[in-house]
Parts: sequence; C-alpha cells; structure tokens
Amino acid sequence: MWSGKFGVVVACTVALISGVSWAQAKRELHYSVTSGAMVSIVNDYGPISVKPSAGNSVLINTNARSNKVEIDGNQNGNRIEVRTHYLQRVGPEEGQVDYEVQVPSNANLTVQSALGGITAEKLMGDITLEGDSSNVQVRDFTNAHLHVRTVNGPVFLTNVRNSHVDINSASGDVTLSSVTGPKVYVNTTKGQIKYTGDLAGGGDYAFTNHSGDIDVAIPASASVDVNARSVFGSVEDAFQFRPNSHMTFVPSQGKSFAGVSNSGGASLKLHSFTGKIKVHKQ
Amino acid sequence: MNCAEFQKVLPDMLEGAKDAAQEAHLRSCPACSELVADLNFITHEAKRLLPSYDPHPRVWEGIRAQLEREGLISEVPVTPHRMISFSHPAVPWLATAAAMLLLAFGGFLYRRDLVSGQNLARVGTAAPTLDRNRGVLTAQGPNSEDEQLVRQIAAENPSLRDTYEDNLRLVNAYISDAEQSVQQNPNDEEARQALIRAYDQKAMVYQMGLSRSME
Amino acid sequence: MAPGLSEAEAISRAQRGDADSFEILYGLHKRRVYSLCLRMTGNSAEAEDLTQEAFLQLYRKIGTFRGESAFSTWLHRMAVNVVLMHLRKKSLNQVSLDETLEPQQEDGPRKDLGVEDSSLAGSIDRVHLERAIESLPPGYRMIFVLHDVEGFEHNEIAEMIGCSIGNSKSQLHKARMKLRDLLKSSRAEKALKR
Repeated sequence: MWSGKFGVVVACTVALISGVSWAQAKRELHYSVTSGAMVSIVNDYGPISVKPSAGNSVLINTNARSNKVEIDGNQNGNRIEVRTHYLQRVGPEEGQVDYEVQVPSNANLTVQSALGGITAEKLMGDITLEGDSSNVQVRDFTNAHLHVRTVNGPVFLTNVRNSHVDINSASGDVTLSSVTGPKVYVNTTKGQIKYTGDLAGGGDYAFTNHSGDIDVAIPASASVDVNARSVFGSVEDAFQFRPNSHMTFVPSQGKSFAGVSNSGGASLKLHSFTGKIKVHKQ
Repeated sequence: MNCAEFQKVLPDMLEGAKDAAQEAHLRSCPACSELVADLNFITHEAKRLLPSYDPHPRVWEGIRAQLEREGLISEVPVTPHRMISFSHPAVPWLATAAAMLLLAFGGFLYRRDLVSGQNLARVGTAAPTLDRNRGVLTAQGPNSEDEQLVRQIAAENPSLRDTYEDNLRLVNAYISDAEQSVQQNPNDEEARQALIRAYDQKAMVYQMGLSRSME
Repeated sequence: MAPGLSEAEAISRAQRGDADSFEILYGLHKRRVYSLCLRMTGNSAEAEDLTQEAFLQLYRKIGTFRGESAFSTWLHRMAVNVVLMHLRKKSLNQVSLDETLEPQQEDGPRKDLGVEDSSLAGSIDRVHLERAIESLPPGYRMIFVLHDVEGFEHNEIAEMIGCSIGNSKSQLHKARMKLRDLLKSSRAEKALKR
C-alpha cells in the first residue's frame, strides 16, 4: 500500500515536472511592429525557419529540447531581439531549440545559427543569414538584399529574383537556382559553386573561389558577357561564346576565356585559383 | 576650256598647279567656282579637325596587362632619397585588405585581453605563412592568433573547434596564393580583387568565430 | 604619375621599363592615336583595339627610339601602320581607279535638286564634316584622313598603302568630291525637314 501511494506520488511528481518542462519547452513570442522592423534571432543549435507574417507582427514559436536553455526576447521600439540563452554549458542535442519565425516580408532580418539549419522564404527586406555549419536555404525572395555567411554550411538559393545577393562561405558549397541580380556575388574558399539560371535582367554576377569547381548552366538565350579565369585550374567554355573584342586580358587556352552571348546584357565574372570552371548550356 | 576639261585637271590644280586657262574658266563658271570653293573649304576644315576622342579606360588596362605579361614593365626603382617606396601598385590594395583584417583581428585580440586580463603589447596583423611551394596548394597551419581564436571557440563551443581550425587553414592558403599572385602581377586588377576576397574570407571567419567565443 | 616629368624623361624611363612612364606617355598621346584610329576605321571597337595594339608596338620598340624624329611623329606613323595592316587584313581594297562617283555631264557638275545651290562654307560645321567622314566608303576615308586630316604627303601615303602617287591623288580627289556630295545631301535633308 505504501509502495502504491509512493508510486502515485512519484508518478504525479514526474508528470508535474514533465508538464512544467513541456510548458517551458514551447514558447510563443508575439510583437507588433511597424514598417521596416529589425528582427534578430540568435540560436546556436536547432533549425530556424522564417516566413512572412500577415500584417505588421513578428511571431516566434520556439520548441526547446531541454530545460537547460531559455528564450530571451526583447523589443526596443521597432527592433526585436530574440536569443537562445544557455543556462549551462550544453552540447548541440541538449541545447537544441527549434524556431519558427514569422516576420513582415519587408522586415530587416538577421539570423545567426551555429549548427541548426536556416530556412527563409518569401521575404524582400535586408536579410543576413549566418550559419557556421548550418545548412542555409532561401526560397522565393524578390527585391531583397540578402547576405549569407557560413563557415562550412552549404547554401541553397532558389528563385531569388531581382535581388542583391552576397554569399560568403569558407568551405560550404553554394547552389543557386533561378537567382537573378542586379548583383549576385558568391565567394568561397573551398566550396563548390553551382549556378543554374538565365542571368536575366542584365545584372552583375561574380562567382569566385580559391579551390572547388564553379559550374554555370545557362540557356542559349541568355544575354551575358563572361570573363572566366582559373590561375592553376582549368576553364571550359562548353557554351561556345562569341569572342569578346573588349578584353582586359589575353585569353589563355584552358586557363581563361572571355566571350559574349546575345547582347551581353549581364556581366558574369568567374575566378578560381585551382578550381575547374565550366560554363555550359542548360 | 569647258567644265569637263576643267574638272579633269582639277586634282592637280588643287595641289597647286594652276594655269591661265583654268583661272579664266573659274572666273567665268559659277558652278566650277563653287566646286573649287567647296573642296577648298573641306580641305581647310579637315586640317582643323582636332583629335577629339579619348579611348575608354579599359584600353589602358589592356595595354598594361599585356606589358606585364610580356615583362616589359617593372616597379618604379627606389630612389636614394626615399627610404621606403610606397609606389608599388599593390600597396594601396594590400593596405586596404590588411586594414579590414586588422579590424577583425583587433576585435579578437581586444576580446581576448578582456577575457584573459592580459595586456598585449600590440594589435597586429596575423601574417599567414607563405607557401613557397608553387603548385602544391596545401592548407597552411594556423598562426598564433588563429590558434588563440580556435582555443577561444573551443572553450565556448567544442563542437565547432574542428570546423574553425580546418577552415582557418583553408583561408590562409587562399590568402597565401592571392598574395603571391599580386606580388607576381602587381598591376593585375583581378589579382588584387582576389586578394581582397581572400582577406574577406578570413575576416568573415574571424567575425563569426568572435561571435561564438563571446557567447 | 610623377609630377613634373617631361616627355623626354618619360621616354628615357620607359626605355628602362618604368611602368609609370609608360602611363605618362599613353596619357600624352592616347587622344591623337585613338582619334586617328577612329576616323580611319569609323568603328569605336576597332579603334580601341587598334589603339591598344599601336601602343603595345610602341612600348615593345621603345628601346629603339633614338630621337631622330619627334616621338609623336614616330608614334603617329606606327599607329597608321597598325591601322593599315588591320584594314589590309580585312581585305579592304582601295577604291579602284575605274570606280567613279557619278557620271559627269559635259556641261558641269550635277546639280542638287530642290535646294538652291550655295557654297558649303558657312553652312557646314565640323560636326557635319566628322559625320560625313564617317559615312565615306572605307577606301576614300582612309586616303582623306591620312592626307587632309593627318597631313601625310602623297609620296608617304603611296609608300604606306603601296600605290602610286598618282593613284593617291586621284583617290583623294574622289574622296573630297564624295564628301561634298554627302555634305550637300545632309544640308538638303535638314532644309527639307524645316
């Protein structure tokens, strides 16, 4: 009997603690903002997904895996800062917090993550996404100003139109699909750079790295002025551009080429030290 | 002399060979007189056409690049009264790139001082080690500042230690190759831009690492 | 660029491979060389390429310059040769002696229709002349630019192009006649539009 009552007490205590923990694990933060809000999310471990909200509000849903973390949220005027705070030293599993974030589509957003994935879609403001080893995925942006930085996290951009894009990754691979300027800059040390798209709109595109291949696939109808150089690697013009009469260097077979397709509307600069650069038709 | 005969000898006449018959025809024929006046006008105006077009700046860029490739130009020699030559074309670019890196390094060293309480004598660039072995692009070992950063990160985020250590080696190799490229081709705009990009990469790694180490 | 550097000093330093001096010399002469190339080819892209080539040849050979002629003359001649070689490669043939501008009537030059005749002087400015030069057939343009614009003599032109002095004179006359027609046509068109 005594063991039965004790068992019930233990069970209730466990349930109570679990309930409290569960209650603390999920948290919702809601902020009202005006146009041009600045939102900052810092979360080392755990995925962060960002989508547009309806109207001028910032909504953040978090789900922590342990009670060794807490979510700090502050609003100062039109500036929102939400950060995962670690109550003690934790590893990626215990410290994981999942974030689902909704911000006005024109909000200025900064997201920092060490090991979680970052996903952002349908935004158009000034966006900075930093993930040390995080997988960064961006979709369906228009007229945005996008900065992405990772140490070795791979970066994927899909359908980012008419935007200023600046991607830096030390060794993460960068994959761009249907991404158009006015400016699209990708710089990696070792990461592969792969672009598939039409370079529409006549923007400036520069894909550069130290090592790692650069692969560009564009349609035959693309209007582009290309300049490709690999200091110690190789280049391949599988697209078969027209020779460019205004070159600032003398092309070297297998090491560099310059050419024009159609009216040469977009500028495409490709540079690597040891990588293989290839431009070909889709 | 009729007009056809006159126009047949007109080229020589315009060169200065004129005789009485030609002059008489000119006085009596308004059409030929006007023709000669027009041709003289064209000749006179043509001589006054000044060179009035400047080529696009890319023309000079192309010339310079080709001259460097052919080894026809070199750096300005240091004159005796100047102890240090700042006229090397790459110096402004290296200075800019180094300044960016200094900013990131300075932030790291300042933070390190705050944490460790040490009083460092200087804030300086962490010169990456040069790889003299051309063509063998191995990642460079970290220098002392790099090692400090990695230790700092490891203290806060052990799971990121290897990531930062490996990538610092990679960016150091990038800087090394880019610096050598600029040294060999100081007027090559592309080489200078590549060096800036390499420094950008290192500054980025430092800035992100600093963020980690300050949490 | 080093201030106060004379052309002679720049030449001397360039002969020793000084990069800044190359740039000084380029700055001093680029306009004349480019304008020559542009007038002779009528095409800015070609003119840029030819300007580049002319200066490259200059710098490759600058060690051989001994000052027997003015540096600008030496460069000018080099630029002309570069352009002529280019035009030859394009299979540009000078207008043949058989080609005439217009059939000429016995009683005088052809009259322009619809516009009262008057001398070109006073109604044509240099802009019109430049445009008309651009519109000349390539062979006429080359001769006209070399003689009337650049000031080469017929014997020099004949040597450069590889024709006779008589041919050079004949071609020049035809070029001037063609220019006159172009300028009168242009003036007539403007008058009709008013």
